[in-house]
Amino acid sequence: MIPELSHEEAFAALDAAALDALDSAEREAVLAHADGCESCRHELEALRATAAQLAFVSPLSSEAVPGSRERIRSRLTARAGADARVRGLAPERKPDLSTREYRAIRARINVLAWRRAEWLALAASILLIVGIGVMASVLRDRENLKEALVGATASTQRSQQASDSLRSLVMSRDSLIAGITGRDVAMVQLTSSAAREPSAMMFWDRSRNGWTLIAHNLPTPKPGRTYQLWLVTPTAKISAGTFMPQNGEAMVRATYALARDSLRAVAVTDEPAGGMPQPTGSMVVIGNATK
Amino acid sequence: MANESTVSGAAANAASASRGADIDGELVRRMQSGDERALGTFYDRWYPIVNGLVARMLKSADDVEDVVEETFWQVWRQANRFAEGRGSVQTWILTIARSRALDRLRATRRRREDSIDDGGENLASLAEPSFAPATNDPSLAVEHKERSQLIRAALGDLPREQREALELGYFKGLSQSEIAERTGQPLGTVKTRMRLAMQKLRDRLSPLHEVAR
Repeated sequence: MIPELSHEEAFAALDAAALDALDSAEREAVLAHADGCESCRHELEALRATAAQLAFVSPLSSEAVPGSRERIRSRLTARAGADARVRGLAPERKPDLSTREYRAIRARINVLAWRRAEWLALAASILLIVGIGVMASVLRDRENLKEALVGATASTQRSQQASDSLRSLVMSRDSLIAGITGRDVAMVQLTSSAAREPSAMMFWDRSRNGWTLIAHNLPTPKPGRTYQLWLVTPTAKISAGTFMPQNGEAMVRATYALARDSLRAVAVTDEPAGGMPQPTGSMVVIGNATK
Repeated sequence: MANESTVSGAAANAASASRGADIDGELVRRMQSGDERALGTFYDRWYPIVNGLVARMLKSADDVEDVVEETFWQVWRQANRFAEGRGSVQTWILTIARSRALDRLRATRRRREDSIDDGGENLASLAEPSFAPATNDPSLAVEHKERSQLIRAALGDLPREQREALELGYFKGLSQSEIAERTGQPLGTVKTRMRLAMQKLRDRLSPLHEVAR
């Protein structure tokens, strides 16, 4: 329960609240009062603005680790782009209406529209038949240009789609590279005793809870069977998904939050299609994570 | 009492801050509509200052990198919650950066049960900082330098005890009761010192943060 403060008590503590220098119970009480008190809220905002100025006392700082500034930037913009798409926020990329080609076509349509009006006036007053012919010709031109415009727009849209697709591919690659080369990534090597030795490496990006398994020389499972990936802890064997290799190769990505010191091993077993809640089949590869 | 050159410096810096506030406001509006390029531009503008603040509060380079990234990610995720009438973009991002750094600082302290004795860097060393080539934007570097000088001057005018209370609270993340324990002063004394320091600082710096709104 948050203790209730009088206005005077809360007001007197606003400067410390702006500096986040109150013990948690008092802080909650002051913020609760400020939420419902307009004058305290304004005072708190003003004091926070003052406190924020203190940041400028620190010298402008260059990156502590070489390359970190660019690395953070690239991760942020990639994450933000993906997030915007997931949340349906991504601004619609309309065909670029300012392209030279589009403008030229629009200009020609405008010119021809005016010309058409002139021809119609002439045709009406002098030669109806010739005028109709000319008008038909102009209309044909106009239709052709409209088609060209539609074609150019479609082409722009196709280019945009191709660009979006490539961008998505690059982001996916970026994410993969970050997942196996990040500074907080642990690696577990998985081996087998079989003749044509399957092998695998598991990369655990502990700060993002990302898991990337890359496996080689895996035989194709028998019909009705699949491979299943397991994270082994002292208390459980946790399924990280099923997968099928292609030409003996496989890459599996999963997200799972695991305490840093609880991983004991990583294993792949042969299981019935669809996977099992606990391993039942033969071990294909296994790696000790406690080394 | 502020002298004439300090006042004219504050006016010039205020005009510059006002232009920057317009740019930041536009970038936040673009982020609200899902434009990730606006986040990139915003990051380029604010990285040197956010990184400077976070690096001053935390020791580990890994922690600094994490907290800087968390700060800008929170900016992106909460852009919609930013209300222009409730404060400036500058206050918003610097408050986020400091809160994230404080979370990390306090978590590290709890984990290691560290002594809060941190080697002694403090605000009392009000000498001009050395400006590392942290930004390619000369106008940003100049604006930051002028602003930093004004704030340092304001801090320099505070009595040492008040400045110390402010520094321990803002940069070291200590609560008033922790400051009292550390300095051996009664809690009431620490509260009074901090309140007086904030009031004086607010009076001296009000031209700066009013235009930033």
